[in-house]
Amino acid sequence: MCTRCQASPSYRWSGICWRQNRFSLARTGVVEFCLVDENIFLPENICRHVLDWRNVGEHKVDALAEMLSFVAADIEVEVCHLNLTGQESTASLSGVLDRLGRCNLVVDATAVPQVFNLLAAVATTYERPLVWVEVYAGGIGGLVARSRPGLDPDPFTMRQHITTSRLGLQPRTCLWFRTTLQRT
Amino acid sequence: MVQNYAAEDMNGNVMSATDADVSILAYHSTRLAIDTLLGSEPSSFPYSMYLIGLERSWVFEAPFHTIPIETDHLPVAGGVLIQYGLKCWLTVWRLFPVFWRRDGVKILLPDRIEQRLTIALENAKNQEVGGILMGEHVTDGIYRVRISPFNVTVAPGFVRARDTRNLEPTAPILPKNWLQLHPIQLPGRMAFASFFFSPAERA
Repeated sequence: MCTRCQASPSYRWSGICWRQNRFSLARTGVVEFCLVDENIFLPENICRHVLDWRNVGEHKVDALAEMLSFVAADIEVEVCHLNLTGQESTASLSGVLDRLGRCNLVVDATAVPQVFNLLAAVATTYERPLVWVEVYAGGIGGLVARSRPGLDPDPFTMRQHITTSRLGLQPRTCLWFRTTLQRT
Repeated sequence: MVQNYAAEDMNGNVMSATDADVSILAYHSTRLAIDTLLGSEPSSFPYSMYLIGLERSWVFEAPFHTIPIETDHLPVAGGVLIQYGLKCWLTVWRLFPVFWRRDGVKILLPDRIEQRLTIALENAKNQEVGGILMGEHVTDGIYRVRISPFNVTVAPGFVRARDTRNLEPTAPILPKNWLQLHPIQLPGRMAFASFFFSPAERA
């Protein structure tokens, strides 16, 4: 069965995401990606990455774009080497955020609160669904969540809910478990 | 040194997430992303937040322990566009002429709320008896209705039968003399109602 034909072929996937799920989406039928990451692929990243020694020294998004092109010929990947929370040009940052706002889905896989704030604001402003993932430090588990405009609470409310109310956790307690992902 | 993906338990043992751990979360997020993109209704995921356990730790009783997080009781991001710009904040003097009094009250309202109110007023015809509009006091005579955390809701009771208010059968929409402005000067936080309108007491 050709899942490619059944899946929506023109959805754009955006955000900072990792590795396997990009390729899973590409194999499912997503053909347009917009990847944002400023990191360089280093040898210590190999242990948790789909890239390997051949890509050491490259920008991760460039290497991933090349690998995605091997999945299907019609895949289009836009890459951006901008650090969303770094000391970047505000005009460039505005352009990237506007670009993300024109995607069909925004994905935050950084587990960095500052990036989450930015992408949640983009998702709220442009009324785009946001999916975010966190891997808790130590590999004890993780969080997978989404916020769809008109159907779910906004991302900020959902994050506050998970950190304070549902499990009786204080934010500091939860932060202890939160990994400080550096987008490896 | 405890750093990325690593943590230290109470006994000082360092735990680190493996590639398999991260991959499990990545694939779960992929399924959630695909379901979100397809927009299937009903969704394959009855909840929108999940804690996925990979070890017996914290709130997880065992590996593969999944805890769905209920969010239905939280306010829904109501499909309204929040943009902070001059063009999106419209005065609604054409919607509510009564807002323009001699002392000059100006209401800043996002497009979406204006559209919803317009539809509600059109449906109400001459049976509309008013309501409560909560906003932030910006400066003298200017109030702003913001989206978050409030959401404008046109409640079923927004339109009431005329006889409940002893209105005339031919009452026009929002007659100027029948509404009374009650400004409450609480500058700053939007958590307070800075003004509200109510039917004026007619002598």
